[in-house]
Amino acid sequence: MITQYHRPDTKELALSLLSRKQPKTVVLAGGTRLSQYRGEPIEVVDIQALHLDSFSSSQDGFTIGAGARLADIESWHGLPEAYRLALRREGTINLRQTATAGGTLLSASGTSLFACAALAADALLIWEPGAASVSYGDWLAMGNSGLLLSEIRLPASVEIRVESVERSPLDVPFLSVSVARWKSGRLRVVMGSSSAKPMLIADGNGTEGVEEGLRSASRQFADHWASPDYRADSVVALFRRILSGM
Amino acid sequence: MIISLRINQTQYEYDCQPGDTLLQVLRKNGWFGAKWGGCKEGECGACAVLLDGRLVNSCSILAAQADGHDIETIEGLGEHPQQGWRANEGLHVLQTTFAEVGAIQCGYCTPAMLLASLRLLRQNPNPNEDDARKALSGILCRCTGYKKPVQAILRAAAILRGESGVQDEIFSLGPLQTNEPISPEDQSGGTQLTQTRVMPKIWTLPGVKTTRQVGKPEIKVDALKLAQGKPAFTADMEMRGMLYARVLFSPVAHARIVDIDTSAAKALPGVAAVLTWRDIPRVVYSTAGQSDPIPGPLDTFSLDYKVRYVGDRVAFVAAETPEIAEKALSLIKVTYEELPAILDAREALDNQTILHDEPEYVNFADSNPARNLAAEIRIDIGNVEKGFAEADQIFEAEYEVPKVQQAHIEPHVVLTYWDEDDRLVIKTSTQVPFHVRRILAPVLKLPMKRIRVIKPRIGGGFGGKQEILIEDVAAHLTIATRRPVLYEYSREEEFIAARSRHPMVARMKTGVKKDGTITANEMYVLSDTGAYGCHALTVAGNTGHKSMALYVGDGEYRKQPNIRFYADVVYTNHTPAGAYRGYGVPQGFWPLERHLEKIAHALGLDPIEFRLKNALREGELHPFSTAWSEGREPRPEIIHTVGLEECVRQGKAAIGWDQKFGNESWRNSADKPTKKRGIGAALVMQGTAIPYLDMGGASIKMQDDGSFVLLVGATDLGTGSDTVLAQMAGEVLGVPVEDIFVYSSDTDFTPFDKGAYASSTTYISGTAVVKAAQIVADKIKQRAAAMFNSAGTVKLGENDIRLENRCALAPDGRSLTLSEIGHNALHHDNQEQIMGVASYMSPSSPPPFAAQFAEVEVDTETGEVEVKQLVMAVDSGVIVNPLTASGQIEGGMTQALGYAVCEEMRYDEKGRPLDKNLVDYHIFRADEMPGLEAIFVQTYEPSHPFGVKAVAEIPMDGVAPAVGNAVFNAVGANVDVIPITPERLWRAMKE
Ligand SMILES: Cc1cc2nc3c(=O)[nH]c(=O)nc-3n(C[C@H](O)[C@H](O)[C@H](O)COP(=O)(O)OP(=O)(O)OC[C@H]3O[C@@H](n4cnc5c(N)ncnc54)[C@H](O)[C@@H]3O)c2cc1C
Ligand code: FES
Ligand code: FES
Repeated sequence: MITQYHRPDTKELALSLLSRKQPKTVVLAGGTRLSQYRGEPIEVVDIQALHLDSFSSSQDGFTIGAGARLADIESWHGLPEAYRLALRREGTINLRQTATAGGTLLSASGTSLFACAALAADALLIWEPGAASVSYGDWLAMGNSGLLLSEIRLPASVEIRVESVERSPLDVPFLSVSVARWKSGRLRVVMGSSSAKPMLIADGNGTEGVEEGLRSASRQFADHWASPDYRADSVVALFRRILSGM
Repeated sequence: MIISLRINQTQYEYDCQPGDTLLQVLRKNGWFGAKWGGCKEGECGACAVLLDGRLVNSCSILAAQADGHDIETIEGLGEHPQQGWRANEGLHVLQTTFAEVGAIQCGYCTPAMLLASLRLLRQNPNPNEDDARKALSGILCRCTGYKKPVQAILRAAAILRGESGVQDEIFSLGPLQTNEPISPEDQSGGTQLTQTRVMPKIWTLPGVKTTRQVGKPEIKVDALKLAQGKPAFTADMEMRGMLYARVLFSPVAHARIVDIDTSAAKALPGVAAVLTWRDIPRVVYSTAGQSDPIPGPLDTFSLDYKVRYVGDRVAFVAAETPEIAEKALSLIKVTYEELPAILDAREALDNQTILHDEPEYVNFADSNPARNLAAEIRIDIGNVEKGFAEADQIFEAEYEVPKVQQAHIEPHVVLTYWDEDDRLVIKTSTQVPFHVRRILAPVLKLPMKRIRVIKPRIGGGFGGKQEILIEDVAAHLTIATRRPVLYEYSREEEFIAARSRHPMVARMKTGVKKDGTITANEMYVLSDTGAYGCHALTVAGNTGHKSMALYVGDGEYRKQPNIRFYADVVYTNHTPAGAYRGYGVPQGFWPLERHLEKIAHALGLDPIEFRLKNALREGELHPFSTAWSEGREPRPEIIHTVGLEECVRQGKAAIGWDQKFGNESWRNSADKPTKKRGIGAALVMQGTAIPYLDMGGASIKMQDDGSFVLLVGATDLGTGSDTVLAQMAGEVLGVPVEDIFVYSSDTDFTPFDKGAYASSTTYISGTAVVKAAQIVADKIKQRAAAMFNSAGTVKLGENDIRLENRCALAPDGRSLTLSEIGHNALHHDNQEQIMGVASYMSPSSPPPFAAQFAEVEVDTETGEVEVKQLVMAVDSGVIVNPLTASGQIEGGMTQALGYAVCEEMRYDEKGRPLDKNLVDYHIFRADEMPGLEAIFVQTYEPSHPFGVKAVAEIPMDGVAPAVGNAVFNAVGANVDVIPITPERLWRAMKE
């Protein structure tokens, strides 16, 4: 149950609310997920007045405010097409009008194509206080590095491709492969799956061992969406398809 | 906390809780245009409003987040132009176009769709089809198939841009009547809709009579209220002192309840009642909303000491708020003695575990609870074994169809209260108000006359509301507390505790001569009715009765077909199945039409020619009519109209069959090496009403101004039946639909009707309306003749008078307006209330027929199937309203498309449902639809006054097999189980 709603207009105020031990206080971004919360009492800190919704690009890459709404990012032509296509698969267009980039990455499951693409691209999350920077992969492994996610940084000059499988064109992508390739030859491969968080399969130079990595990762999972055999075969097909198009 | 919202340009301050959603606050304060689809994942979009111009789901943000922001709801869009002395701007053009093109069916999604469209047109005055589809993509519509809403947007945009001619187009052009088959270039389906023509194509066979109202694209009589988001639905009606009901559902699939401790729940402040099986009478009944006697076992109690599926009822709670009721549920302590569960229908028969061991169980026909058998059917027509012996080849195979959900966007919802005369009023979103009253009276220990059932507007039903599903919950709680009680399912509850389509395993065995003559055809189905036997017998009966009747064989076999249909309907510890649009028939056509495809391929025959060679023809006996009638005495029935061959001709032309089937260069696309295209067809038939059983009544009264009030017991679930009934009355009375006010379904005020099911309303209730209208017309003519006679020298009789254009016309050119006649009747001469009451029960059930086609693209590596186009050419007799009828076809095909490729209710090894929302259980969205094309082949069914047959259920039947056959055509792999998921096809391709 949400017992108190705060809408601070400075980061400092937000952080002081979030830093309290009691009552338990959490960030409310778009609220698409948190508005449904029915658990133990919490207070929420709405970040809509903190101006965390901008996005920009530079030579180093793309910076997206954690509070930027998915629908706005999706129509930002400066962002590579692969991210924008992935964003279009996050919930419905109505939800994307409110859901934020930060909320999406922090609540993502393996069916989130944007989260998979961000992990493949080795996205950085910037946390307050202190502008601590942590990779999305490390966050998935270890959790929050601060009280408030303020920014997401995606590297420039990385080619991103995402391929997925679903029962109808815009159904839940229950299986996906995302590949990021740097000019240096670095290749990161992520598998998205209905049964786990986005999984980093490979991070190195070249494709050696990637297919085996995908196969063995998929064999760990069987759920009502697909069998391990099917997953293993299809992720490799998707990976090859991506490579042949890169 | 106090929040400030600027709603439709007026500032409001509301007191709310920090955790309240915007939807809760809006509805609490009277903004009922935002609807609740029961969601917890923000998946349906029915609640959408504009927040600072953005379309957001109001159930998915806190009201506090909206504090200080601008909100637009449907109530601010436009309103009916006649508001008495208050001048207003009338309806918004979008509201008008949505109504005009038939984009509003049940109307539950309409407010959200209109706001989405408004936002689009503000941003982009010149949208294309993709823009419109994207704009609507956050709103699920289970009724329309999205084609007409898209057309409504494009028309509105054209009108706003000032383009000429658009406004008159629908009604001046009328349907496209053509003497040539429609070519693919000419058709409006495909990926690009024809934006300027919204009418379907109609091909009329000889013998169809010309009419004035019937056959015209009338705007639905309820369209405007729905376009304005009026509080017409059950949940929109709140009462003082109202309590909220919640139900504790079983977490286990099979158990005895050893103990229930409700003390903590009862002690919670705000809780008004907690009921368990100990508190209410133990009355066995069936929840199936069917006529008396219920053709199935009585095996259900409102609350029982045994639970038989995850989601079965354990206790009822009524409390001051939904939150308190929810909290109370968590305080009820239940001790279960778990029993072994049967989760595979193949293991149910004669299993040691018995679901129904209660002594009160009442058998129907061959049900046998000791064997877990809810129903058994054994139908032998002709001599099947002789037919097999005469065959050159016998083909056998097994097929499977899944359990699927109706997924109407308005959940089940009921409001009960005692009225001032101590009568229990049940306002409920039901397809069967009269059955609700009859079936609940003993359950509630009330005489039937002390119950009144009112059906407000229904936000979709599709069979799911042909069930007495939740009315008893609210009623028991109203009896216990003396207070009004509202009970509304959440989407999750729809999945765990509502009804669904019966899943079946079907074994086919077919004997064929080398030339393609079917010598004998056999189907055995094992149907899983879940924990209760509602509709168990009749659904399975329909599976055989409709599908297996279509192919009688050729030559001598036509006269004496050899057909066998056996079914065992078994109890398992799954969520109970029930009625779902198509009512068993889609389950039959998947195995049948896939099987025939394989046979045609094996024999090297053209699959369509092979089917037509063996298909039922005009003048032949419905083969099952001599053998089976839902457990009652069968009576032979001749089929008078079969437009199947013309349907095939039209459908083939529309999808471009001759250019694509067997064309390798079309199948292999050069630029997509991992994709293959395929095309497939299926022929289908349904029924129209249940003969000698279904009855509908109608009453019509004339008013002072020559307008009419039509009371019908029939229930319009969004199908447009109220409109079609008004059109038929208008045809007889010589008035436009706008002069007829339709009230449907109040057990106190309207005549009886069995309800909206079995595709019967237009046919049965329609005939009752026509008969009532004829009585009224006769009285009007008599009075008109008398009025003419009093003024003239020539003596006229009633037969000399014609009713046309709101007038009674004499042969010599004199005329009286109906207003003059109505006024005369009520106020001046020999005063009387001109009124007619009639009812109709049909001796026949004329089947509609259709040819359904699908075009697919298959990914040969992953097994994904993308359906590119669906075409359906249908013989539904005379089409009363081409707009509403084509809407039925498009919406039905879309539901059937889900059945083909993605919809399936899955369970874990403990019988717990895995799909509990409309994300995992995916229904098609506006921006992923294939092209949809409906073509009507009009025949004239002689058993109906205007020649109609049914239209609403048949689109469910042939999409899945057409898609399955198209997949086979694309990659040569046979998938025998639907939905055709990527993995199923991948496996089939590997084999
Ligand atoms: C009920 C529901 C369940 C969903 N489940 C999934 C799922 O399992 N997987 C999936 O991929 N998608 C899921 N989605 C879709 C989607 O990922 C989320 O709805 C949406 O993207 C969350 O964004 P938001 O801005 O609305 O987040 P909110 O609802 O505002 O917050 C989501 C979570 O992220 C935290 N958070 C948000 N922003 C910050 C920030 N800047 N700093 C620190 N913490 C922050 C919140 O405290 C909260 O725990 C779900 C949607 C709904 C409605
Ligand atoms: S999305 Fe809000 S009610 Fe369904
Ligand atoms: S009209 Fe869209 S859900 Fe019924």
